[in-house]
Amino acid sequence: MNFRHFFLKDPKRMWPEASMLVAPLAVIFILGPDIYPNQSIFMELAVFIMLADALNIVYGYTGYLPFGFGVFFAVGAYGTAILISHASWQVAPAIIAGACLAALLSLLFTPLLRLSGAYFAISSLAAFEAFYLIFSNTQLTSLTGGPYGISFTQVYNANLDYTAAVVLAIASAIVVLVISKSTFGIALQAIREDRFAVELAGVSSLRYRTYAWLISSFISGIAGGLFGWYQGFFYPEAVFNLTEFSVLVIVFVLFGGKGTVFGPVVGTVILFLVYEILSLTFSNSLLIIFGLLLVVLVLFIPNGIEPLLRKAADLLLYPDGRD
Amino acid sequence: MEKQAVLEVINFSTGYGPLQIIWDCSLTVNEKETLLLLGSNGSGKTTLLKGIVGYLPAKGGSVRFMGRDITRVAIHAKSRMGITYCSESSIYPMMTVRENLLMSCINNRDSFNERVDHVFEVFPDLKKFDRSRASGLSGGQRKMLVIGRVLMARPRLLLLDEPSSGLSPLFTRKITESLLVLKDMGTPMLISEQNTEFTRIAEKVMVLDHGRVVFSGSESEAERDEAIHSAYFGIG
Repeated sequence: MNFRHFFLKDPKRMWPEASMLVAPLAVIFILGPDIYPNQSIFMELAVFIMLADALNIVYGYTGYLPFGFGVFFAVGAYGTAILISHASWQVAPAIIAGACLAALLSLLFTPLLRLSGAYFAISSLAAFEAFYLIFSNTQLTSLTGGPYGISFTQVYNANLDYTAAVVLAIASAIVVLVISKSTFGIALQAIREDRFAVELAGVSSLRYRTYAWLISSFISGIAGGLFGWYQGFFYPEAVFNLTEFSVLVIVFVLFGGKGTVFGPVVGTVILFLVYEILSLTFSNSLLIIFGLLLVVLVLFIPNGIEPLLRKAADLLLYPDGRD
Repeated sequence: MEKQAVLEVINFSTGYGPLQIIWDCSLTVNEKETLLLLGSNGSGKTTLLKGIVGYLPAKGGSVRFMGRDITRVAIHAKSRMGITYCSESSIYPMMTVRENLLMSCINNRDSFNERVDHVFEVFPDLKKFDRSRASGLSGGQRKMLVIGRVLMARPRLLLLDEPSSGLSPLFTRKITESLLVLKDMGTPMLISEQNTEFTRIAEKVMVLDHGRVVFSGSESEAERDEAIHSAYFGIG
């Protein structure tokens, strides 16, 4: 990658889009807990925004769908917990180290990047299951807590964790914005379009996918560390939760619009809140209603809602059309 | 003075999996020279080009570029050496025309704007679609974009696969004219085609049949060869 030409345009020209991302998120996270006094829901929302942005980098931009994506989240959570509970690390370095561990794990998985389509999706799922079995193994109870879970209540600080999660959720959205405005982002999109043609343009698709994979797993690891910290104690099933931290995130990204800057964020905010409301009112039939809703969405808006929102904004701002 | 060989393909064989398509093919493209590869559908033209560029593995023989053996060099590394391969599908449909052009020089964006201006000078039609997705372009415009991407890349060797397929005579002429621009820039080219219009820009002609070379010579020799003449230049 030639960093001399990393940005496509002057980075200052990103400010309008950056402020359109930051301002609504700041309003949601600052005012939200006052309107609906349940901080944990907004904490989870921040974590899901991070995961959606992380998945968007690898799936939305390069077209590679890792079904077992949640493994990086879980490893981030466990890495943080182990360093705090066994090595008495401070929270911040422990979270960063946990994320680095997730990124390191993603490097071990790079041979999977030679696969494509369903093979890649399924092999990442197998990796997820393998690591679940390792972390929940009774023989590792002294290190990971095994099936009995791991606790690090000594550093519990919900308010500080919430603030950190909000800042990092916004930061992850900014990372996606920067990628989208860079030659790196263009190359990733080209890989999604035609891997062979990209190679012919002098770009090593494997190397670029590895970069995307590393960034994505690092952000997921951070999200995992923050989530674990907020919980104070968790069982392996809580972080190795395929439905929540893989499938649901994939749905959020698809609904919002994969490969876009705003789509995954908007998709996560809307669908996560719908999910929470449904879980309060229709807890027994939640998954059925949510599943039907998704079928309808995928059938009628396969590219997600971002293009529709963009069109609506254009109509609102330029009723006579753009020049 | 003898011209320097840019591309040398020596007894080269390739194919898909266990199926061998190209058998002991040899050719040379010298500096500032264009070699036209003629052959009917299924003769192995595309397979040969894909083999040279590395998309298909060599089953025998070698490929040399500027004297260096590149038979087993990775595709992206070949591209960085200055070898550009273009087929009709060499565009990214969901990306804009400008992004497509950018992808051709992503490793070196020096004078990017000047190069884009040059492409729009050669193909004014493309300028109108600068910020539009390539998926909205017509067949002819897509071909222009393919050639535009070549102009952006400024290759040291161009391998071009059937640039006129599916195009009207008017568009075909436009494409040959744009290739003449490249030729004037001194770019050595290996062009696979069925259309003899391209002999205008070629010094040498090679004919493939069932994966084997059945003719190799100058453009005038090709016209004089009775079998080649009746097959590709019309019976007369």
